[in-house]
Amino acid sequence: MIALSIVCGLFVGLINAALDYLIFYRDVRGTFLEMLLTDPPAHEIYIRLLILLTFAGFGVVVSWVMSRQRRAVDALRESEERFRLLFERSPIGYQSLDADGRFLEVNPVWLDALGYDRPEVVGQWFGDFLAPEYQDLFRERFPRFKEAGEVHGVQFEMVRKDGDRLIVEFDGRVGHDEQGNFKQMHCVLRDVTKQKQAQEALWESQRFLQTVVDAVPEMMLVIDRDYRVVLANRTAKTFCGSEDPVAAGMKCHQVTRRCDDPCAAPADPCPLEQVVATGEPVSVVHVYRDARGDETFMEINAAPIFDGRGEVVQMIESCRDVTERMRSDEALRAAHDELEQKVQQRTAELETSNRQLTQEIAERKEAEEQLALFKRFVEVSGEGMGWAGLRGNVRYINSALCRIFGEDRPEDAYGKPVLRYYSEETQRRLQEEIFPAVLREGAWSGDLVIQSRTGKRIPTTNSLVVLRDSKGSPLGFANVATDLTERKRIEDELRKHRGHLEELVAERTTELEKANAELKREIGERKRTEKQLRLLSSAVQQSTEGMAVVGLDGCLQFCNQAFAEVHGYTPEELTGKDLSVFHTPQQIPSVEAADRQVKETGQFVGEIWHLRRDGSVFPARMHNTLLRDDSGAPIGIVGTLRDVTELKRTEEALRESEARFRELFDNMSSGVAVCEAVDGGGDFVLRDFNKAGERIEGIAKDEVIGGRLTETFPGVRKFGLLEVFRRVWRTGTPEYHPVTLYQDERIAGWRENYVYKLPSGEVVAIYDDVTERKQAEREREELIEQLENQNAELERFTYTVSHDLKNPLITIKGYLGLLEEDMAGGKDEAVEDDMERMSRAADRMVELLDELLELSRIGRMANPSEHVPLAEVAREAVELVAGRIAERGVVVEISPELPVVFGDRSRLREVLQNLVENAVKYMGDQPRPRIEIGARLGRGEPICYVRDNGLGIEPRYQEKIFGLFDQLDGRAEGTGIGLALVKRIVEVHGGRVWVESEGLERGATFCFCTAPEDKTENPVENEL
Amino acid sequence: MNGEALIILHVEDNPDHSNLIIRTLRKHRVANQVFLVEDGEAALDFLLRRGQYADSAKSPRPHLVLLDLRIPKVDGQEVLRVIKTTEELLAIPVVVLTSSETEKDITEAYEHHANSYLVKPVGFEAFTEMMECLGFYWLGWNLHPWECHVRGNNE
Repeated sequence: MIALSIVCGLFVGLINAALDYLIFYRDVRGTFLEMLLTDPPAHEIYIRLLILLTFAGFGVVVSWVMSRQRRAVDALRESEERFRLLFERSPIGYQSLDADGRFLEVNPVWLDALGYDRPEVVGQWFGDFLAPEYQDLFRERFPRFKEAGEVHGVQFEMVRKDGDRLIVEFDGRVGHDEQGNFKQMHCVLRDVTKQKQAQEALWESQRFLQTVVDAVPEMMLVIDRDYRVVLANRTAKTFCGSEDPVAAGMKCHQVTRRCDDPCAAPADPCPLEQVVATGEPVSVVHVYRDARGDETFMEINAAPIFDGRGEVVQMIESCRDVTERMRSDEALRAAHDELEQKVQQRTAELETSNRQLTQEIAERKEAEEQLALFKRFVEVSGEGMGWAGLRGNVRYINSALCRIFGEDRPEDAYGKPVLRYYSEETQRRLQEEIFPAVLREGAWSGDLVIQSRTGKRIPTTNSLVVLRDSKGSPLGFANVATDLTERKRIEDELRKHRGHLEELVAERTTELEKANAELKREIGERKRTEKQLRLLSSAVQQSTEGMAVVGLDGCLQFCNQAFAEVHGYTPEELTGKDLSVFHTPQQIPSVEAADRQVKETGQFVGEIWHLRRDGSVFPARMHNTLLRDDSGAPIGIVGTLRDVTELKRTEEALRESEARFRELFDNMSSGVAVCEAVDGGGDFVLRDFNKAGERIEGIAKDEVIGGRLTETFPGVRKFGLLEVFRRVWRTGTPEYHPVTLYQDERIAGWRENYVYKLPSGEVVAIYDDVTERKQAEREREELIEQLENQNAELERFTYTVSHDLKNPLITIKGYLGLLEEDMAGGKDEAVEDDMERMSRAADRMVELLDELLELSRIGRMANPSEHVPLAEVAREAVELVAGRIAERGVVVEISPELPVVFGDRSRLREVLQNLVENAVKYMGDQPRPRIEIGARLGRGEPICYVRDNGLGIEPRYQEKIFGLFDQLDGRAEGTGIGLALVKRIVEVHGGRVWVESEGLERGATFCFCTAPEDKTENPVENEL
Repeated sequence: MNGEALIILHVEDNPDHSNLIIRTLRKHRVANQVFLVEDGEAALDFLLRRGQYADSAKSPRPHLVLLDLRIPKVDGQEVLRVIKTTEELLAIPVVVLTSSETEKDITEAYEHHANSYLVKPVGFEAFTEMMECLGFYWLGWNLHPWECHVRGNNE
């Protein structure tokens, strides 16, 4: 720029000097020409011509200087291009290296990232900025990068000025010069340290998971659909005899069964088949027999793993040896069978006794019936019958005898001495003769008179026998006495007796049936109770939840397998133990507190640390309830327990990881928005937003979260990001949304977005505000455009100087030669023509230089801007051209509507003067030439115009005519600078000029407008 | 040669230059017939036989076109481009004769298949020498496509 100024200054100075010289001669032009034409001594002419040659010298020098100038501009452009490349290709960090790997350029992002200042970096070897272990690698690889021309995703570790290390990823591209030689290497680098750390964290998390999975005592496998094991935990490996089943390419049945064929129903149903068929987790039990015939029961729990389309691609399988459980189940089943058997036996017994009873009843019934028959016989008998004890007391008499005895009822006679029913005489005879005879002989028959209690004497025939027991000992005497008159009454008595007996039998039968029903009910109830008890027992025993019952004395009364196992005991070992065995002394207070709570409120829920047999401790989630008897009195505590170590550890890890990511999220410089799809992916709801995002968008996180994307950022659709979100959400493929202008009512700025999808289905946008960068870019572009414009103008100027100024010189030099010849040949007419042409060429050159100077001065407004009434200025301009107007007979009309504009009065007059001159010049053969100077209202600004009815201009030339020295007609007078001058003046006034013409012979309207006062650019020292 | 009329189409807007050129050419008796046109449009009309040159008797095929670049209406480069892309014209040798020495003009002219590019010299001797050589070379030694001779014979 300085060089350019110097050259231009020099040029203008030279032109000025030349002009001064010319102006001097212009005044004496007549004399000069006269001199030339009338008396032209040769040496005089040479002197004059030497002056002209000086101009040629200027031309050449200026031309040379200008081409120098252009080279400088080219260098500027090259440098600019390099810069633009730099910014265009380095969204994050940029460097360019020369062929030796030394820095040519680095951008601020790079410097910022590594903490250096530019002078410390440029010219240094790139390797010096790498971690020592990478330097040799770079030295070795750099020639290959150059050869390949492109390199992507290369990672190096760099060292910051403060010694910190950065992991960076490079994309490089070699820039070539026009000959295709290596010029420089452009590198874009990205700080991937955080990314690396995040990756490390991921690995760590995976290692942790592997450890957890390995710690599971159950065998765990992940299986492909072709049964191939793709993942196995340590238990599985141990089971395989420490051979890694994944590495060995084993199939699941080879691992679990050591068998080459897949498991098959019905004995061992294949869980994979079931999972694939149903898509649901399944649980199956397989029985394996080893060489010795011992059975191992394996419980296999299998769950499907789905791919994105919901197809089962793999299966997780966990295998547990449940032989113990199966055995205890077996034992339980045996006990159950035994019980069943006992119940059946008991039932059979009961049924037998029932049958016996029934039989007994039947027998008794039969006996009763026989007895009844016998009694009936006795009773019905008209014979009096009865028996007495050995002492002669009546034990029984039938009704007939009762009647005979004259008693009201037989009972009245019972216990009474039988003798009382006999006369004294008979009494004696009985005592002395008959009884001893009966006793002796066993029987006696004879007539006896019975003294009835009524006083009647009844003669009877008696038949006496001795009654003996089964041993033959005499029990008493039986007598049959016959009184035929009493027979009828005896019969009645007998009938009455029989009814009573039947009643008795019925009563007994009912009683027995009732007892029988009771027994049956009892058996049923017992069966039900047994069943419930069995269910309850197995539920408690098999529960994975630890369960225990503790007495009020603090001793364990019962615990299940899970409870015992979790503490490292067996249930038998624990029964009766004091609770203190589960706790360290430090834990006791919390245990006691829990105990109190249970006793006071009936319940305790919470975590208590427990002690294992091996001395290790674990957090347990407890749920304790007070146990009460029927009356409501507390009798103990029942508690359930679960080991929550894993739960706590996972939770802890999660919390840590979350905190880490949250910090990362909030501290990164790029904005991050996490969105969840709604309306089937039609819109998105913001779920998270980081601090950088708040800063960039100037909005608080709270205002954003939960809001719809299209509502919070209404410009997002036009911005193009919504479509990207939808695509990413649908396909899962990350996308880069290049620098685009975001605009809504609230904010506007350039954003660069990276969008990707999380496994959760949420879509994340990481973005940067590149507005400042964009602005800088735009400013640079404007500057470049300005430079290019100036450059083009310079070029035109150079061209003019080298071409248009040269033309008159060619003419003068050429005719000088002809002049000599013609003079020598004495051709006077020709000589005159030659001189005329030379003179005209010289004049033209003067004119050209004059106007070029004028043009160069326009940039420097000579006068300060003021409010200029155009109507006045138009009148002045017309006056200046009055001669030519009159010559051509043109009618000029100036509209009074012309506006007042802000600018340089004399320059504006020049504009109108040139336009009027131009209109007159191209009037053509118009018989009634007319020029109108007026104004109309354009887009909010007044447009002034000069309209003529002359030749007009074809549309294709309408732009061309404003160029320097562009004349449509080579023979037309003037230099061709006029319209260029107009254009330049109007542009300096911040306006523009154009021509409207419908074509040849249709006239032309030259329009121009100027900028309003507040926008008029400050007059600059133009370098022309 | 053979005493045939060799025809030049001279495109030049500066009358001083065209006069100078024609005079020097005549002086060395190299040009038998020179047609002068003063703008690009007229040049194309002549070559394509349009407008006032529609009559082919008035617009014979030239053996050589001497073309200035800075000419009104249609630019010299455009005239060159039309000649070299029009089937019946492209065989005609075109010598660019201009005062411009700019690289842009030279490159562009050759890109449009100009047969030669000459810069008008400043100086009578040089000018005369150039015209002499140009005449000898293009109209003497140089052979022309057959059609030009036929047209020439018609003149």
